[in-house]
Amino acid sequence: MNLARHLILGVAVLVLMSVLAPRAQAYPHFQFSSDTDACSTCHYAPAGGGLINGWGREEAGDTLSRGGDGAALHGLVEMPSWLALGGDLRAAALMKGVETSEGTVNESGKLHLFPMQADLSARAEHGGFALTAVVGLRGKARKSAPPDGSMRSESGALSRLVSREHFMTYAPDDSRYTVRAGRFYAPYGLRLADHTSYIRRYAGFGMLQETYGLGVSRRGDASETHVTAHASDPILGSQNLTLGVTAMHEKRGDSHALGTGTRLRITESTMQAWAGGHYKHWFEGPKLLLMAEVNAGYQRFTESPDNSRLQLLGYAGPVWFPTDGVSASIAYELYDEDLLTRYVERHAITSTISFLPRAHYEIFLMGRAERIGPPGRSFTGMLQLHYYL
Amino acid sequence: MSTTRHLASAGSLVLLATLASCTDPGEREADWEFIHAAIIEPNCATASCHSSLSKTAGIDFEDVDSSYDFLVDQFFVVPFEQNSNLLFLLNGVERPLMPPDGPLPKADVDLIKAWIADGALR
Repeated sequence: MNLARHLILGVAVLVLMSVLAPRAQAYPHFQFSSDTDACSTCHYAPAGGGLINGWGREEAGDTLSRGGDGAALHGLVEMPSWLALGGDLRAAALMKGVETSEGTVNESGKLHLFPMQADLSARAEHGGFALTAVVGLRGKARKSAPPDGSMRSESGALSRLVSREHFMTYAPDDSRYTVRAGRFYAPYGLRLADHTSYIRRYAGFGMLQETYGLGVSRRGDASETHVTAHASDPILGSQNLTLGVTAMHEKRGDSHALGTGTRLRITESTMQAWAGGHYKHWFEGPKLLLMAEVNAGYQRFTESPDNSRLQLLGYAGPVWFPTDGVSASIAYELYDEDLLTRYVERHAITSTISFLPRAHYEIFLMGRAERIGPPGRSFTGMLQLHYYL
Repeated sequence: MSTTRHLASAGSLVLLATLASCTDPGEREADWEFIHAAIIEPNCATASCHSSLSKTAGIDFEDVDSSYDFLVDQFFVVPFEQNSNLLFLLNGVERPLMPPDGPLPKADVDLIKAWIADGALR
C-alpha cells in the first residue's frame, strides 16, 4: 500500500537525519568547503546557479576538478572587473525504456542523440547594480513530427532561441540584502541541477519554468533568506497567467544546512501551495553528503473543488566524493500527485556519476528507474558531455 | 523534544490520516476542467513540449478551452469512442507514447478514458 510505504520512508529519513545530525564534522564539498558556506560564495546570483564568480572559478580548477585553470576562457583573456562572461554547452545521449499496462511501448530502447544546452551568459555591474542575461537554444531530444501529420513542425534554430534568465540585482555596499528583478527561478529547496528530478519538475521548477519576479535575499553569517513574488512569462510564455510567492530560509551549521520553504501559485483554474524543508549533512571521513527534501502540497481546482488534492514530493540520498573531480549519487524520489487516491504515485531511484577531469569539462552519467503507479515502469539512461566557458 | 521529532510526529499523523481516507482512482470526478488542470497541463504543457512557448508539433495544451477544441477538432478525442487516438498515444500503442519522458499513471489514463466514455463533455 503506497501510503504505508510513504509513512515508513518519511519517518526513516527523519529518524536517520536526527540520529546522524550531531555527529559529523567539517564541510559539504560544494556548499561548505574552503569557506564556501553558501551557493552565492561561488555564484554571482544571490541563491546560486548560473555564472560563477572569481572564487568559484578558482575552486573549479582546484577542489572541484582534477586541475586546470577555471578562469573564464581558461584564463587566456583577463576580463575587466565589471564584466563576467560564461557559457554552457551540453551534448547528450538518452535512452528510454517504458512499460505500461499495454506492455513495452514502441520507443523503448531507441537512442536519442541531441544538443542539450547551448547558453551564453553575461553579467555587467556598476556600483551596486548588476545586469545578468543568459541566452541560448532550447534543447530538444526528439523530432517534433506531429502525431497525425496535419500540424506544422517546429524547425530552425531561431525558433529555439530563448533567454532563460535575465535580471537586474541591486546590492548596496556592506549590506546583507540583495534585491533582484527579472526572470529567474525563485529560490526554493535543494535547487538540484537536474530539472527532471521530481522535486523540481512537479513543484514548478522544470525546464524553462523560470518566472518573472521581484525578490529580496538576505545573507546572514550562517543563514540565508529569499522571498520572491513572481508571475509567469507574460509575453512568450503561458496563456494562463500564474501568480505566486515563494520563500525559503536556510540555516547552516559547520557541517549541515537545514532549510524551510513555502510556495504558492494561483492561476484562473487552480491554486497550489507547497510547504517543506530540506537538509544537507556533510561527513568528512567518508566524504559523503546526505541530502533530503520533503514537500507537502495542497491543490484546489476552481471548477472541481471536490477533486482538491493533497500531494507529496520527496528526495533523499547520499552523494559520495571518492576523489577530486568525481562524485557519485544515489537517491530515492517520490511524487504522489494525490495522496487521497491510490495508484497515482511515482517512485524513482536515480543514480548519477559526475567526472570533472579538468576545469571546464564534465562527463555526466545518469540512470533512473521509475515505478509509475502500478503497473507502469520507466528506465532512463543518459550520458552528458558538458563544457562550460 | 527536538524540532526533528516534532516534524516526524506531525508528518506521521498527517500520513496516517491520509492512509485511512484513501480512495480508488475511479472516485475522482471525470470532468474536463479537472483533467486539464491536474493531468494535461502539468504533464503535457511542459516548456520543452506542448507549452505556449514550444508548441511542439504545433500543439499548445496550456489553455483549457483551446486544448479541448484541438483534441476534439483533430479527432484525438471522439466522444463516447473508447478507441480515441488520445488513448492510443497515452498508452503508447500503435503511436509514440505521450508523454515520452514521463508516462501518466494508469489511473490517470483511466480517468481520461472514463471522461471520453461519458461523452467527453467540456
